[in-house]
Amino acid sequence: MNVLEVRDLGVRFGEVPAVRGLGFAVAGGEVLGVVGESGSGKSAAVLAVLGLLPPKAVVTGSVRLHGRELVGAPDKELTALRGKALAMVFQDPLAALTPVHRVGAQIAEAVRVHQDLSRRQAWARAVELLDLVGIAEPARAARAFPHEFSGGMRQRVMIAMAVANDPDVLICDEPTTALDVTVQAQVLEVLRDARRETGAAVVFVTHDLGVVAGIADRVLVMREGRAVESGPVEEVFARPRMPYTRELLAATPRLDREAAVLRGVPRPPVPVLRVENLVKEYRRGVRVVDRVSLDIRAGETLGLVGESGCGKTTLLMEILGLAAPRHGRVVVFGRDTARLGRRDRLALRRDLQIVFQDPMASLDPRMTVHDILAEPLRMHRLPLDRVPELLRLVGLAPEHAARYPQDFSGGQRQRIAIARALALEPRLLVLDEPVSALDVRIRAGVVELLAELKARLGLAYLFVAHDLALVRRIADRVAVMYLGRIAEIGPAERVFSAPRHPYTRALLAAVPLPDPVAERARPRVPLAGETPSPAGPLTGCRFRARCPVYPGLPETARSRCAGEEPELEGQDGAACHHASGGAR
Amino acid sequence: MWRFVIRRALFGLLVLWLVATTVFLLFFAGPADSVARRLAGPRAPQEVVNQIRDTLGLDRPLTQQYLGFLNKLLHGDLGTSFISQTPVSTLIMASLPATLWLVAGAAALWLTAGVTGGVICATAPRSLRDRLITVTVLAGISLPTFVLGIFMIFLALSVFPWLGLAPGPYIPPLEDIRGFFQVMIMPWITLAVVQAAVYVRLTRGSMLDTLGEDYIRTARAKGAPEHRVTYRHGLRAALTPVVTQFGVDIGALLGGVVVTESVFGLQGLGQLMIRSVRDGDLPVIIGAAVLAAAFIVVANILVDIAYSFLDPRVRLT
Repeated sequence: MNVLEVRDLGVRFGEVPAVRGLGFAVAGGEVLGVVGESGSGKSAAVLAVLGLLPPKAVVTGSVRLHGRELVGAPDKELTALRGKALAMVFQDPLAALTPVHRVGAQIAEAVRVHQDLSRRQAWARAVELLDLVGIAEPARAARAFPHEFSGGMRQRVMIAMAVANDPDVLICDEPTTALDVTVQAQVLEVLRDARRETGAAVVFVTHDLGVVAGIADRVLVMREGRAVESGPVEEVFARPRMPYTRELLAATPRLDREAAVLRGVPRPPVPVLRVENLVKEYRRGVRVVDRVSLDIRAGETLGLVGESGCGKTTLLMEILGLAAPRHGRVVVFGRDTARLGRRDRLALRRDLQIVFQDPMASLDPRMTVHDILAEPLRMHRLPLDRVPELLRLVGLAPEHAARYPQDFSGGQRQRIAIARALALEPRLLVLDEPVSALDVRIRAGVVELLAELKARLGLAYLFVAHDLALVRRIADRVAVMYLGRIAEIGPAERVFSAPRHPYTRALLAAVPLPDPVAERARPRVPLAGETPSPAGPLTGCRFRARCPVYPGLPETARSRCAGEEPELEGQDGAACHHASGGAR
Repeated sequence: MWRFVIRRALFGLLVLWLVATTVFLLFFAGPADSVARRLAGPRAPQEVVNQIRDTLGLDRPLTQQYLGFLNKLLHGDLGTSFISQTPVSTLIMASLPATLWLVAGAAALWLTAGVTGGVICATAPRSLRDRLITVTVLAGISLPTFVLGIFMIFLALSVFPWLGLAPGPYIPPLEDIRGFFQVMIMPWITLAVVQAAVYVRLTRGSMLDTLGEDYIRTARAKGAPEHRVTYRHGLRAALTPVVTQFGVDIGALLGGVVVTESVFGLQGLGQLMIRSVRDGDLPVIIGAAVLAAAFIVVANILVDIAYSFLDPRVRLT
């Protein structure tokens, strides 16, 4: 029995169609995954179902809930349904919760809008719901404000709010996109529970094929506002009928497969960057980066992975600052940054360049592409005639130089950012999440460009990313950071095929595979909790509180974890007293 | 919170000290005779100049005069008016109530009207009522204060004489509450009309930003009715810039509402200041300047405390 039926749905913003002739149906307890790239109209489609699009949007076609037509229904009727029969979980849980009200009050509001309960009863129900979504000490947590919660906890609050009135249809719009992979695994688990508890029909919108493979029963692929393909998830993933679906699947890197195609060619091991025992403190004693050592050799890619708050961005900024660190040493191209003069530092910047995550934000919208590329050349008093060559180098036409960044697509913009970084012929390029703002098919192209440039120009990369499957494709060596320290470091193939640190294993296990059969066959053991604050007292192994190995250890072994901090030995190993020798 | 208040209060004292010192130097730096001449006015006879020099001790070294000035200031002694020979503090206390009541009443009016108007505009941007309100408040702000004031007096005296509205002088509310309102209503409306435009625009802009936030969509997705979405989820977050502006305005206006007071013949701080500047009544000018600075300092501290009540993310440190 279908709970929600959408037929011939169209959404237009002025003259621009966002959704055209879309149809789907979902039954109670079923999960429909809606997949598409940005601009495919997937979000507009689900917002149209709830009638939450801005007034200028024109919605046509039919949306039926239990046979009752919603398109064109009076606002009052829709308001009565929203939050009760139709509930929604949004993408960015920080922006989606009202910052000035306590989380308990926001959940209680959702309850009281639809149920005739007293303030006190609604609050009690809110606490109950917080407990249901797995928030510890729910009575206390209810009194917190959203900014006091982590991203994962905020998303749990969103889910609590959505299931408060036992909805018939639960719509999730990219609910785990802003979250770290281990937290994503936890939140997906909560969503599975929520579906079981409420028996709701779930529409799950995402761009992540791995997530869909894990959670959806059926999948609908969207492109440019239309449905491209739909069917049972196993069938669509195993035998995609449409070329677009095949292309999407092919562009998605898989963690469970070796993909050494983009690795560097072996070169003499000349170190270009050496970091020794680097420490960065914010305030007194809060070490955001704590005794980190790593090195990068010429022509090599070091992948730096870790969840938000692990200190990887701080580490990058310390390296890029070329300033003397408080503790430890940074040696760039054989020169200790503590002994650099102002002039040396400027000269050294030529060899060390960065590409930022969001090309939309990192390119000045008031400068033409030519000016953007020429600026570093001017700074260093170099001839400007390199600009056309730079554009060709990243696969753009030299004629494009007169345009502005906003005239380009996301992938092209990131190519411009790369060209800018290459203008000064650097030897080491720092890439801070260079493709995470891009769609999967565009992402593959940019990654290939980076690999090609590395081979051609002999560049070394420090590649920061949270997408582990991507790192597996491009990195020669990998460093895994946890709470300011490196938990594990080693050759990429070794780290991915035989991770030694329990954290690395947990991280790899949390990455969903874009393959429904393999994904569902894996045991699901999400890592509990979230990265603690570096401000807390840190003794012994800092992963101990979340470690899946630690509780099963004998007493003597446990006391060692608690009392003695494990150290990393050399450039291939794990900072763990009980590092496993091999298999995951 | 208390640490914050104490630190800000100390900082405020620093500001007041700087204001007092600047005013002091402005008037007292220079040779004794020329200072005395400046105070006495260009046409005063030499005896008067000599007398001023001797009574104020302008012959003493500047540091000594300055220390004496600060010492008196710290004891709340603002000196004596040259003109009326009454203590400055007495003059100020006599003028303060009129200005206080004028600003308080007008502020209540313009804040209510401005925020309400802004919210109405923001909930239906570019609609007829949005345009109507915007045009009305712009007309209000475009009209010079004295024109508006004179027009109101004309209305009160010629068209609605039975209301008993009258321009000044100020009547204390405890003495005659009816008379108080009859005198104050026109200045209140005049000042409020001038101020309200800024608040409508500010609230409208801030509210439009807030209503575009994701959490507003969340509140709608909950099924919360529209008025609840607007006021409970939208307005509070939108009020921050309004409160900033409000603090600045109140602080500045309490120092004296010159034009409005003049038009309606209210003997407030603005009038006092104008008179003392015209007469070169130095002690009064210094006293009024320090008081005006104090109002601004206090208003800003209150604004920062208000932030922490409006938004839990703001911590007072």
